[in-house]
Amino acid sequence: MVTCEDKLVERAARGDTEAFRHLWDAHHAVAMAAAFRLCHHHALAEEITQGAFLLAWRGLPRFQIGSPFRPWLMRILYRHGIDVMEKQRTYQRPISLDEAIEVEKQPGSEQLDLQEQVSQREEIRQALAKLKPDQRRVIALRYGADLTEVDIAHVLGWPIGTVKSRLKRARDHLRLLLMDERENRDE
Amino acid sequence: MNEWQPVKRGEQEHPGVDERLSAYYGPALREQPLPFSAWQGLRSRLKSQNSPHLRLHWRLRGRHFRQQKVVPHFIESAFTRIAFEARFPRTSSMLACAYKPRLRQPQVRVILLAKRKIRLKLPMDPAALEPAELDVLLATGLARYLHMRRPAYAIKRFLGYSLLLLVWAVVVWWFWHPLMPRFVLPIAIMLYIALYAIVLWQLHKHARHMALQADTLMVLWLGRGYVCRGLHALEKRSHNSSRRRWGELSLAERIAHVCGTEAPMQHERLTLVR
Repeated sequence: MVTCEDKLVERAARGDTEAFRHLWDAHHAVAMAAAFRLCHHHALAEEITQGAFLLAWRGLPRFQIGSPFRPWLMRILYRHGIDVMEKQRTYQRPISLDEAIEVEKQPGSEQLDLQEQVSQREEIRQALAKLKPDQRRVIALRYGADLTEVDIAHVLGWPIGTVKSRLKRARDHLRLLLMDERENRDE
Repeated sequence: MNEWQPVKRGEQEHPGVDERLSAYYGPALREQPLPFSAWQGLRSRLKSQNSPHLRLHWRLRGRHFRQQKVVPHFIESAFTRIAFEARFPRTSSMLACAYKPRLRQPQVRVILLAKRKIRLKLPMDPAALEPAELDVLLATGLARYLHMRRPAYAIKRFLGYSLLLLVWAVVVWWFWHPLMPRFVLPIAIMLYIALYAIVLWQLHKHARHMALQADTLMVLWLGRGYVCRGLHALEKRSHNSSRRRWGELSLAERIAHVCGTEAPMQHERLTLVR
């Protein structure tokens, strides 16, 4: 069954920017929310969202008409997002107060003491910065995008066993790093 | 993968880490609509990047188009600066860039007989390369080019390849000559294979020796610390820094040579002034 969205995709694949604008209107807000949750930075999230749509536009001729557009777009977004974050070394940058306020403004986020929230997030950020890039990728997709191991394997193009082992190693490493951090603080 | 399945939080092995990571990323957010200007910005990029006409053009002209035409300005200017340091006068149209989407580690090759002698293989976003990385790549290309066009290097390689061709011609002639006894032929082929292996090995060693000399020259131009920084940045991108191709040095060998060994005094003096 050919849906309205399929027609839009077909037209966009032929170079129709107006059809692509309809796809943008329908999906960009969800994509932006996902990107913002991953990187916690509004400008970077906007850049990731635009980049993902640009990649989608380029890849439209290879898109299989009939399959749903959003999961395909989100797969591009997640892959692009974590690449951009690694390239821009977002984990190396300390979390600013403005950024924390921006995250806290989002509906659903817990209203903790702001300073406490920043220090907790900063601890995790520092621990994440010490992981290997591939470990950070699986952590971001698992916790920042709530993907299952199977979906992570689809997004990153890795075998499922590799995803599982990297995720396990990343968690073990993180636990050690966070314990060290706590001991250092107690001393 | 048609639908995204949310993760069941109860099945985790590391409750402390899980909770803290979940808190770090926070819950799923509500939709975040962007202003119309975001679409306008994207639309201008769509038009410049991927009109059907341009797509067809790229497909028709293929690799040649990608290699010859697109050398970003910042790469050209970095190369001019290095060429100035090297006192090498002619820099125009020496570079060619090829962009590979999944390339992790940028590479450089020198082809003496081509119009554009120094060929860079770069990731799709070359602006993300660190300046030291880019300078090391360009200086490697230029230093190797200068070494490769020296008569001693060119003659040795010419002789090596000529020898291989000559012996091959003798074996073929032997095969077709009616007076030659047939039982000698297998021995001749064995000898040819042995000789082939020896000559190839010599050519490989020769190319590696040249690459080492080129690295030394690059250190003179850019300074040891800067070259080390660039090589280490390249190493970070590499899956396996000790892997080496035929006639090439591995990154680990280059780092050991440049960063891990002491330079002769006169070289050190030159590098310290930078």
